[in-house]
Amino acid sequence: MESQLYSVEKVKDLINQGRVLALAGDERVLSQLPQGAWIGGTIPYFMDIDKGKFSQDMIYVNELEDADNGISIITYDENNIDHIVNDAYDNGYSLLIIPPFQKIHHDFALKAEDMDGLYNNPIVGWVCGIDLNANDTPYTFNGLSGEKYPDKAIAIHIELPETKFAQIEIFNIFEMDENSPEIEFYIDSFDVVNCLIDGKDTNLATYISEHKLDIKLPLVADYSGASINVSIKEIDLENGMVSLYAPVFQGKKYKFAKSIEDYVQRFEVKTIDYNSDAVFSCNCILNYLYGELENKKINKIKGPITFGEIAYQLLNQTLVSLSVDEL
Amino acid sequence: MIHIPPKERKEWRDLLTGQINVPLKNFFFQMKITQAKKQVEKAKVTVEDAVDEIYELCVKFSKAKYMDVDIQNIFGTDNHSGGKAQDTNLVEQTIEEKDLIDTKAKEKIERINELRLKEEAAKQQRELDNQREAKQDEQSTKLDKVEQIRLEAQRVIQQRYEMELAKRKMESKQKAEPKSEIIQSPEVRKDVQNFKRMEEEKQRVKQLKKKKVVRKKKSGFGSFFKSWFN
Repeated sequence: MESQLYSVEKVKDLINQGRVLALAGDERVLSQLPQGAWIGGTIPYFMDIDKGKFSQDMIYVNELEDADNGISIITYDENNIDHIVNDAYDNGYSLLIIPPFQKIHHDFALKAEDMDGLYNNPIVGWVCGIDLNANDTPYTFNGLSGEKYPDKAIAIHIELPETKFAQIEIFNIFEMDENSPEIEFYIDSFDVVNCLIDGKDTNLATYISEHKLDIKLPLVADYSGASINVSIKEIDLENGMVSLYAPVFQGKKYKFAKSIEDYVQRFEVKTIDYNSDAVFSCNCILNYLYGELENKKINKIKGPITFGEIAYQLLNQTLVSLSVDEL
Repeated sequence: MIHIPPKERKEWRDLLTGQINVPLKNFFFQMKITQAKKQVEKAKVTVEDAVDEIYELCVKFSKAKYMDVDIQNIFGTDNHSGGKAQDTNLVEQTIEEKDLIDTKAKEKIERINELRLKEEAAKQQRELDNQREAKQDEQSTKLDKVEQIRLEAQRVIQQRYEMELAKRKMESKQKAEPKSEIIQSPEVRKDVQNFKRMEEEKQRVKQLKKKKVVRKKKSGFGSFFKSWFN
């Protein structure tokens, strides 16, 4: 079944047929759905099959095929999030949805890398969100129990047959600017006051302001060849603090990203290999906003637009995709 | 089908200790190696345990995208049994395998592969032994010294941390000042300085976050969300 936006009635039918689904939509439409084998998160922004869209009436559906062997749906908070790895099947994947800027969001982002067995199976997912012009609250949904949570994460674990395996791919349009100074942080944190810039103790907010750096560009760290972004949320010059959408980590070396002249063109080039048959994919709200992706089509990119992407760990300004392949 | 080289191969260890530093392409491999390097560096796992885990996962995800490219970049071209990587030996192996197909081929191929792996492992081991013997004195001295410095540095950092927390007086700080040459090395001084800065940074962030929470409560949840993107 093609992943795309569907009407509420159609989604109700799918749930009643016993399909295993990962859903994204406005709280008001997700709340109308019957109980069943589904999880969901709130968001009204999507990359649909034809273009980027804002919709509070339709629901984006990813059918999680190959789920005949086993599924489990588990709610997580800060007390049990580190069980997520053990809750997964020996061969399969986990799809996780987290509410933004709650303790669970914070804890998962900071702890994920230290979880034993994190890479045994793909953990993919997203941080849910809201209409940026409204005063809504973001929620996650456990379709099995019919409950919704403003402060808990929800995951569906899928067991794959022995003949298949799941893999994650990320598409990042940013890369380190080689001319950028090297930045190292004292602590693992979503907030930064001082850091080492080229080895010198410096206030990051002041540095960014004085050098007139574009805060639409993320900080980038190199993970053995993978460029991992940390996006800047806000700069509080009064207090000298920079807030981030994902944590920076002590011991990692970061650089500012190279600037991009044409956001959309860059996306088109970088996502040329994007697999439109992926079981799941999502893209960042910052890419959607800064790239002005509403009403635009880029290759065959699809999926919910998110307040954070998960590919084993919390990522920013990145397109994440999960596919299931034959062994 | 890609062949994952046996875990006895030196390259696995070199990958974790930074002696091999090739940019990887497969996402799982990139993330796993980064995590394992960090764990090894912080002495949370041994290199051997990390290699065991990575090897098993590479076997599990051997068909994942770019895994063949990464393995080839790390181990060279003799680890493939297909595509561009075929060399003379592998062509011979393929012919041999075809001949054997009608006569209990599977068993024999398995045995051959097993022997080859053992030979390869033994060869690697011999090479390692030779290298180890040749450099034994030099290496052990170096390693001892590195380990000694690391342990000493850890000890000193911990000592300083406790001192900071207890807010001891300057006299007792001076009393506990490192005296040996190792402790007074620039690296250790830098670590201690960074540790102090880390504690200071924690305090600064904590204080400012408190301020922010108050502001958030005043402005309400909806406008807080909206403000992120303005």
